[in-house]
Amino acid sequence: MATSYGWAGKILRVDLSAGTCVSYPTNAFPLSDGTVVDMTTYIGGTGIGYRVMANEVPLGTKSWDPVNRVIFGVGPQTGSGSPSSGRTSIISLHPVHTAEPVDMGQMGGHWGPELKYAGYDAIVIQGKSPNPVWLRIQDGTVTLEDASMLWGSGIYFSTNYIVNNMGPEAHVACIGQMGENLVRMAGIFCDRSHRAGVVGSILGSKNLKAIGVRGTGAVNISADKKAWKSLINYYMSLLGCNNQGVVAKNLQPWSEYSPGGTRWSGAPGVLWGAATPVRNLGNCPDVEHPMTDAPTPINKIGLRTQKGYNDFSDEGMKRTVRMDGCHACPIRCHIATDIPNLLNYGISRYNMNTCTGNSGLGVATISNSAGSNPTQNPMLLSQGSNNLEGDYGIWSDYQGFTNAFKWYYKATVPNPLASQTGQPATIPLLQKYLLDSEYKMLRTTALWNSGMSPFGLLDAGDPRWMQFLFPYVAQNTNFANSASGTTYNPTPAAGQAAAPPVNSFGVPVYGTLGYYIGMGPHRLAQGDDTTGFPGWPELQVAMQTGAASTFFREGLQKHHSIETQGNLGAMVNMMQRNRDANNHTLQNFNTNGLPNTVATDPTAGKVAIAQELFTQGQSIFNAPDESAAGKYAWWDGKSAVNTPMCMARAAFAAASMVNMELHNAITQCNYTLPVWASPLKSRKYRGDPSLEGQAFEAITGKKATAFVQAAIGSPAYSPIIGGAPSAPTAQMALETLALRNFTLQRCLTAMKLQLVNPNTTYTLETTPYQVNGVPTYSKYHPYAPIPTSYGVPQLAATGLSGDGNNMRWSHDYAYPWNYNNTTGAGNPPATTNVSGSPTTYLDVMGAGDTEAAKSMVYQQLGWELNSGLPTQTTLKALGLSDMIAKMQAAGITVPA
Amino acid sequence: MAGNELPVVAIPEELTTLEQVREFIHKTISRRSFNKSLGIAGLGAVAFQYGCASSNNTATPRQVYVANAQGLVVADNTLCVGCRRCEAACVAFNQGNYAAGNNPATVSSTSDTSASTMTQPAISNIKVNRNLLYGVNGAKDNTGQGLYGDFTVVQNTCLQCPHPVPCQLACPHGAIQVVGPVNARVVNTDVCVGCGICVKACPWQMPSLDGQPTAANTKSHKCHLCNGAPECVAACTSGALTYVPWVDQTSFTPARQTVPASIQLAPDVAGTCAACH
Repeated sequence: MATSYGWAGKILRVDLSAGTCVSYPTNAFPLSDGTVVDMTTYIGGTGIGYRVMANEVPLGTKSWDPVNRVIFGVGPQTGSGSPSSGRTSIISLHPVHTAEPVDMGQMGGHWGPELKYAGYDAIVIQGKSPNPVWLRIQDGTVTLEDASMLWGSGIYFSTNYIVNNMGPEAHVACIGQMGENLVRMAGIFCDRSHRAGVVGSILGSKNLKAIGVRGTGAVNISADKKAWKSLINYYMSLLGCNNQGVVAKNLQPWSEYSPGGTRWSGAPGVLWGAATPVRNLGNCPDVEHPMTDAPTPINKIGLRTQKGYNDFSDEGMKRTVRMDGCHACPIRCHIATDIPNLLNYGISRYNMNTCTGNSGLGVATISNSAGSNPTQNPMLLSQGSNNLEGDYGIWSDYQGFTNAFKWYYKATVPNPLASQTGQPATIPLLQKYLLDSEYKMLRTTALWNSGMSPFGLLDAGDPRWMQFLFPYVAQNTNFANSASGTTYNPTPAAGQAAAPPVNSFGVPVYGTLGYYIGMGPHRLAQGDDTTGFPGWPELQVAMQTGAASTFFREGLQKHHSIETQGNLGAMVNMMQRNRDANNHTLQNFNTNGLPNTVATDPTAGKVAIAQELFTQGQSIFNAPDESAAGKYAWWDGKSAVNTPMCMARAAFAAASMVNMELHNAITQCNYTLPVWASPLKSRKYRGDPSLEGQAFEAITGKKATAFVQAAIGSPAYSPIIGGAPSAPTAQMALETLALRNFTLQRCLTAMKLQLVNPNTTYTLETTPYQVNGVPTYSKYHPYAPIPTSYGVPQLAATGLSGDGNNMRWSHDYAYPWNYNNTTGAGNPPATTNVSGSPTTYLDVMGAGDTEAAKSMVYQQLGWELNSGLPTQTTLKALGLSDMIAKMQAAGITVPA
Repeated sequence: MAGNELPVVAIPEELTTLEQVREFIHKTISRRSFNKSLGIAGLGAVAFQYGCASSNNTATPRQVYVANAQGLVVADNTLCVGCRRCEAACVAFNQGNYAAGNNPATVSSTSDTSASTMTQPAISNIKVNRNLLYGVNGAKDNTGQGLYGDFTVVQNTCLQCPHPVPCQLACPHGAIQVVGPVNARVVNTDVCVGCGICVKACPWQMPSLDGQPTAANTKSHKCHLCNGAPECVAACTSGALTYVPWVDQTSFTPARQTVPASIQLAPDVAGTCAACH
């Protein structure tokens, strides 16, 4: 076989029902519908996953059905040694979302590169094993091994067992008890601190405990050694720190800027305080040193990000052993901590994670509860929670479900029995919805030798609350489950009602608090069809208004959303899955630390860099440069978000979405890249937006434009200019393939939403939406006329029924909290006024502005304005013609 | 070939006891030390060879290197952040693979670009992955080193052993040679047959094979110090690796292999091993 550059060349198909493991060529992968697809044309990662899901998983399949697939995908860059190329995309149906559409989780670590070294670009897993197994991949030798002794064990024990079996170089992706017991928020974990969200229960449903991988092979790189080394060093010279902050928080000798917001927190006097010996991170004094062959400052990059100090201040600095992160990534974003006090609770003193992985379920529920307990050290709680999450295997959800918990733990609701004598007017929400016996236990039953009940421990800020909580959630006790002892039929025959137990308030109870927490707030608000649980309407309202944190329509709370450049972030979060978009392309540019504009130098600052990107033909997303006319202003320098929507911002939003899809396919970390800015003053802090393309060509040896030409018949495709750019670059070609993946995912989402809600109708309301005054928590987006000054076409109703036919209104929908002029939580809706308070980020986001923004971004992406669906023209141009028939079969009218 | 290979001094065959050989070596070294002051050769920069072509012994005559290396990559495990960029750089940037016949014993490390480029941590001459998760004592439980323990990541580097050099002496083919100017212990890929005996001989298991033992084109890989400019050191993102003048670290670096192959394999034993490996 000819040498395969970049791609390993094989995709492994594992049929758990049949017990078979067979590999096929990546460039001729046979799908179960009879088609044979060159998967390299989907790049890798999510692209492979979306295509498998589109052709192999029948519409209407539920997450835990054996016919569902779970695809572990990596890309040509994974394991190449290119910076930040250690990530793995895991694609399946989304068990948290009520419609269960195609989605993905992501993990870093060393597992994905090891899969490449073993010789695989992806693993497609289907079926259901009759008994618990783990998948053993030792280069070309793939076997299913008995996991009965691991079932019921945590991730730490299971990983240890498998590494002992396979040797110390093996890497293990594993689920804990959460995944086994079909807790919807369960994740897949690897390498101690790397966690892919919401896909853990898929493995649990398939009786697949873990995948151990050991590869001794190579990722072949087409470029010669000298060219490859030169590219890598160039790449390294442009990197900043975590989140692509390109200047330091504290002023360093080489830089003119030092904003507080970047995560480049390493500086003289900033320590790894728990290291032996203690390390002083120091300056990065020589950032302009020629990078072609010189070690400096490569040897300092790993010291730039001190997330312990960044997130926990002096206490974090004191507790930091060192930083860690993914394979081949010089940006170390995980804090390794040493908290000896955890030993008092029987928890390892050593723990590691980053960002909200350090503030998961346990800590978030505790830290806002009480403040007087001397044991309530935020690091103690954070790392204790982190440890238990990492063993039981539940995803931190960027605090989404913990924020929701904080709300419903304290919320009170009208007492259904208020009319009866002696009954209070209101009762705690949890008392209304839990069994009397359970509520009493949570309030009064003393745990262990603490003398306190579970909620007592919680209120006291005692870490033992977490030790109660995690196994309680992991048990996932719902009363439709016959194993729980209290049984009912969740899918009763016609005329027969499901009859879960009823508490003293006359309210049906579908499971324990552990069950309710584990399904995640989206389900908790909207229901769980496997048990017949209808959802808590109070939580639904609280999520829409922002009272219980700020959630998006399709579940999961906002994360680098509207708070990131206002309408820009809102568009990304709304359209890219309308849940936790977690789009760091946008976030990283926003928080890179450079000023928006520099009065003395019009070519400096973020505005100038962004303008170059989208007005000078560097991207398939494009906007005319009308800044001279003052019509299209980028960040205006007064308020980063107070800029009305314009085509240039739409291009930026579209490019951010597609760049993230590119990263998830190729695979590269979206938290450290792209390098649209750099620390180099000599480049006026510019990065290089074409680096993904350069690396792709160097690694695969393929000329990207020719590669894309062969795949879709055109070297690049730009919807906004209606064809191929006049001078397509490698980066534009790759953007085209990433747009293709994104469009494919959009089609799949529309098909699933159409299936779930086929009869909904949407009409354009003429009355501008009001949130000030009587709140109207309409399920559907209120319409306000788009100001004609935006220059975008007015809309018409689609006249079609179903959520899939009306993606603009059903999916790309903003809850009312988007129009609050506060961060949301706990505050009532206030105003839609565009000229509101300058201190908040939402004041420009009236409904009209939102609709204008959607229209502009649709134009960039090649989607039709009224429906929000990719047009037939777009689908054909991107080589996705087959999706037209698939969507039509699903009841969707694909716009021409 | 081997323009920078050390001069070889034959050990007279009439010297049969260990004491006699030792005395001869010491005399030779001290003479060359004297010569060094005259600018002729470096201290101990000489290789010894025992046996000769006239012998009916079929194994390659044994060479004995007493020259110490000039440099050493030292690793500070309290600074390592576990990114493994060193492993990637080792294989991708130096002669970590021999696909184009690159021979680190004969070609300057940094000048040649003809060899194919690849990233393959399994043949890296610096080894981090194997200690990453659980540390040097392996996956006994979750209280040791590594990501599942106390976060200590031990980077294994070649110690460039002083005489006796285990991998060199164990090699039944004389493929591991000492090459100037830095006197690294280097695999001569023209000679190496990929038997893997060096892997077993090294107490720290530092050499590695790039294929099945003795399969066609399989070669051993071990650190050759990149002629004094190690790529791993340049690539380290946290300053945990340093290139320093050689010091003997063998005595206080715990062995990874408790039962290394004998470093004094008799020719017939070596032949027996080679039949299987």
